[in-house]
Amino acid sequence: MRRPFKRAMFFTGLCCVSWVLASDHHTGATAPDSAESLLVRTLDAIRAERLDLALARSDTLVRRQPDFRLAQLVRGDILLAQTGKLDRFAGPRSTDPRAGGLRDEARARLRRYAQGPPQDLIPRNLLLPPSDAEAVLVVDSRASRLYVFRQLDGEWKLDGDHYVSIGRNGTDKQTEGDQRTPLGVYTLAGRIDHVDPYYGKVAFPLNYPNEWDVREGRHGHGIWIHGTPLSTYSRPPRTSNGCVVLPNEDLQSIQPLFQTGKTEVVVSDSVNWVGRDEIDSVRESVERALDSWKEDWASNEVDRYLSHYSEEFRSGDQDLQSWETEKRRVAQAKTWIKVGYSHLSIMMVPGEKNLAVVDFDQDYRSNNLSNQMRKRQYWRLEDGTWKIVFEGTPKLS
Amino acid sequence: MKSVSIAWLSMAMVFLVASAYGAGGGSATLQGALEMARNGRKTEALDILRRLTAEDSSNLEAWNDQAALQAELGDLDGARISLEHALVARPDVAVLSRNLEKICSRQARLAYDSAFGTPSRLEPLLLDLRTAPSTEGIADRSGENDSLRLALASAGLQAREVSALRDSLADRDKEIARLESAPPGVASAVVASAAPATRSAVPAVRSPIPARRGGISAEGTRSDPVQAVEAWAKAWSDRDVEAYLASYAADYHPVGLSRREWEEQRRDRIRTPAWIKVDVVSPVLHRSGPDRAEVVYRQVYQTQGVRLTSRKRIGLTIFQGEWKIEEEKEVR
Repeated sequence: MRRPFKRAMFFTGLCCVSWVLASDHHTGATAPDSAESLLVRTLDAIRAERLDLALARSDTLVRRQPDFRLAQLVRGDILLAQTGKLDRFAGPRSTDPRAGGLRDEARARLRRYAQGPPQDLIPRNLLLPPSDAEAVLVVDSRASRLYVFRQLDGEWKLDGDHYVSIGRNGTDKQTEGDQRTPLGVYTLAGRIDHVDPYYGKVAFPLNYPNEWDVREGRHGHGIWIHGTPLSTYSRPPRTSNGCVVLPNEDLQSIQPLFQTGKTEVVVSDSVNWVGRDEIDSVRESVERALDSWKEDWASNEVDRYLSHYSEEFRSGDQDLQSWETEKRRVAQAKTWIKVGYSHLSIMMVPGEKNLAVVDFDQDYRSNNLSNQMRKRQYWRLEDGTWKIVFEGTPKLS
Repeated sequence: MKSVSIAWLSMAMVFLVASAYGAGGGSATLQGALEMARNGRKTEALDILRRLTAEDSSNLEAWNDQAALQAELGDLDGARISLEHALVARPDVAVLSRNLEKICSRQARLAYDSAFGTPSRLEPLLLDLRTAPSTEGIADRSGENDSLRLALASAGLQAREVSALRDSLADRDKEIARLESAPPGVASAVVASAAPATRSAVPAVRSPIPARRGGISAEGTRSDPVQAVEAWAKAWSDRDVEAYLASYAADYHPVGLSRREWEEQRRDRIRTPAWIKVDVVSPVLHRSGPDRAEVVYRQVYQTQGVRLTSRKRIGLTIFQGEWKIEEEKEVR
């Protein structure tokens, strides 16, 4: 202990963690006794130059979560600072390629506590989540965060958030093996209880590639939400092959809400948090377009009906031309049509400009044919008017 | 007369022998513990050492031996805490600091190994001891024996001081417990406000006498007495011995020591700890003459694992145009 404390260097080291903590901005959506909360309090004590307190807190933390690698690293730094030998984040191990990943994790977890999810705002994607779903999940890849929304008192509200890791090469998956996480609106496609321990205890496949991915020519498979290896509390922000990875403890706590075929997972680069007024006005404009489409279809005036379809429209092998030909042919035999819909959901697709995915139960009746189906449409705002660019059934796996 | 000095001499010898070999004054048990440890009865030995340190928290040898044994048994947290306790009593004993540094380095290494999942090959952790059974062991580590013996011999550490130090450690533990139980927002607010609060208190208390601040003296002093005390505390905190000593008037007479001995002692006490932080809280200025002043304040002295609060009265005088300390007292 004869050496000077080198405290300044310690803080320089942690400044690499881009010190953004401001105590009055703490938003305590996460349990105060969670490992993450303890980590943040440890870092907080370092910031306040209370190394004794920081050490005591890191003691508590690693006793609770010995497999939390970032916590161990921070503890190593605190202990080494006591001897005056710490000169940067991760001290003598700073050249280890994994140190950068852990620093990014520290950054991401700290940023969560510095800024926190906005109060009373919700992601612009959630125009009208499916009303019969327990929860909707929203991933913000830049924040390394997964937000859980639930219906409370008839409104979708934030009900917890969790640290997540994503693909090594980031987002916007296009091809098999590109180590990216897809951007879009996905549905939980199942549950796998017996996974390789590398993926934790349980995994939930997403329906990647969905109908929009197929349309855009994206491919690949095996995008899951899963946990961490059983001996690893959490992984740095960009370490998966494209999956969304949560600490096992976090996944365990939210998985009771997961419903195959119902739980929507919005994966975005950066969540756009907006007020309920904006949600309502965008949702209403989509609903008006949908009503108008439904009425024009029931009118059996094919031109009015077709005016809702974009030049870019495609459905499976059909483009606008073949769609039009078929609709005109079918219309000739109709004397009356009734169209109803229920269980509507509307979500804005991340990574796209003003593209909404609209699902509903369609009840179609006419003089010569009636059917009920679950329909999925993609609507895009073109020159101020919502137009249909895709129509079909939801691809659920 | 002669018999008195012989008695004194034999007492001194006993003390020296005791501190070198761990014998004498209750040290039979310390010796016994070490004997046990050597014979492999480490847990029992540890129990005895624990009893010894519980009975007398200023028993540095027992603390150090306890830490060594804990480290050997793999309880690095325990070893660290034992050394911290010993350092509370004597922050300036090099062997304790060195051992704490070893423990911290080892724990840091283990933490990094866990962080990166790459266990490295660890050589056994050996703490510096002065408990070596063989004479060559003692010879090897004579320097440390000296420092420890010196520490014990010069332990002008009064019981009151020890208990104050122990209280401060207990306070720290309590504070940690309190902060641990608070939610993060609260904890950080408390932590964040703790340091600036002492600073901001200063101008508030001083404000009743603003007219007296600065430039009163006919001799054209550039500082005022409160600033002089703060500069002295800063030199102490910076471990800047020269600036610290220069804060004292030439005729400052330390109690019981020559000026030269005192300067040596201060140099040692200030340079030895890895860090020191001295805060001057709520200073109140009393002027007793055109060139005399007293500053009464609460002093918060902190170093590794120690936080000491005391009430101090500093007497100052003007010397060559600067306020210098001519008297330093603890007020009860």
